[in-house]
Amino acid sequence: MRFKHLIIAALLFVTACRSGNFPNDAGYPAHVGDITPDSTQDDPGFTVCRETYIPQYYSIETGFEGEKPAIERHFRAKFAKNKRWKGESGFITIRFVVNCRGQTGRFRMQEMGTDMKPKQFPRDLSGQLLELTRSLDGWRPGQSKIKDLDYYQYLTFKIADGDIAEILP
Amino acid sequence: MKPRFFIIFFFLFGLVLQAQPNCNVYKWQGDTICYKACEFYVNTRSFAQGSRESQITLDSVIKICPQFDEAWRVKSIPYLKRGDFITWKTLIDKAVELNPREHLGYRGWCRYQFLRDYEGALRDLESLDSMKIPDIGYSANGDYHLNIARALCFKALGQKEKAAAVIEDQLAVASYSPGLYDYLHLGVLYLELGRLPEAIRALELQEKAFPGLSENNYYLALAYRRSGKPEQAGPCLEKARESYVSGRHRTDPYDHPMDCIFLGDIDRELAELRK
Repeated sequence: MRFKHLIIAALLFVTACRSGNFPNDAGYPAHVGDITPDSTQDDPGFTVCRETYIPQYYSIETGFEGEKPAIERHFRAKFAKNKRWKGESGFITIRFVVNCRGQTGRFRMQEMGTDMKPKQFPRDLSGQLLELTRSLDGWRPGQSKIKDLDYYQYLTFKIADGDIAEILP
Repeated sequence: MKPRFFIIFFFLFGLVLQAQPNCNVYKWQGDTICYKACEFYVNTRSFAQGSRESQITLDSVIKICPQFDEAWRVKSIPYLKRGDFITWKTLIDKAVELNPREHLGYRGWCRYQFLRDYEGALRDLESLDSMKIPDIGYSANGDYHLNIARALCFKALGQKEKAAAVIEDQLAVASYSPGLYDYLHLGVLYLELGRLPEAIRALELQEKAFPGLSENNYYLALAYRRSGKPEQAGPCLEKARESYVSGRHRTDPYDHPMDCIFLGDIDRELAELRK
């Protein structure tokens, strides 16, 4: 039994000791949620200030001009509903990067049903939300004591019967 | 967000995250492999949450002890916080399957906080309640007893009388110390139900519990105004504005809490009052 413990401990220790040198092919990005730039879908004019350090929105001071009501107004005013979407419910999350100048890029979308399993919404519904998110102007650069920062942000749209029920976070 | 609230929040959230599993559970069960995996897990929590190192290490722990529920939960957290809810749900479901008593409350709370999935949150919290444990516990951020979270779900689903009753019941539990925002939500519920004297009383209690929070005075102002006492509403709105501008209003690093207000709400009410 002691030998078995030794083997397990050794196995785990070897894994731990590779902390500074974890293999890139483990299937994980450097940090969960990192968005790899993709020239086939990203605006080539969008750049970040520090590619090696893009924190999450919740870990630094971030915000939107006019706060959340301004985001809600943008979508409520511009989102065009369609009767064909009745019965379409679930969640559409759009992740993106806000750079240190307050510009946005690298948009990625995840769609899921109310059961939280992957689901494909009608293209004109999800595509419209993506375009409205792209056109949303007012993100503040991330704040640190020294300089403005890039950061990851997301918006989740709770969809009920083809309409926006709530916008998160 | 005010730095003070940020620090308090991260301290509290850190405590939740740092809560260590009791590895001895596996030892007592004679499961020496999982005991070692658990000990290893405890000793390797210095990696940044969501980093490749952290996720790979958690995978190693899970590979050795697939029934180690806490490792599944911890692996799920960065996906939740970063908006990959499909992956989060797959992983947290595994933790719940292995240890429902420990993780149903957490999953229910996260469904509420991050997705406003009121029905899903209620299913989880009521499943937990049906297990007849002495206390279903608190939200991951420590802000709410999970019965208060249940009430917020009922409110969002339009069952406001039921929501108020759930909060009243929780506040009536002899051993319960009211949470920071319990009376705020109860007061707002009464206000929305038109039970104005009760709304004022609850919001005054809230002001005692958390003095100077902008929301307290904002909703008090609404209650006074609807009670035909605009002369009392004005000073409350001024206080609410002052608190808001100085950062004393409801915030959360991850979402906008229910019943939180914005500067525009206060200014709109002030303008209405001055007409």
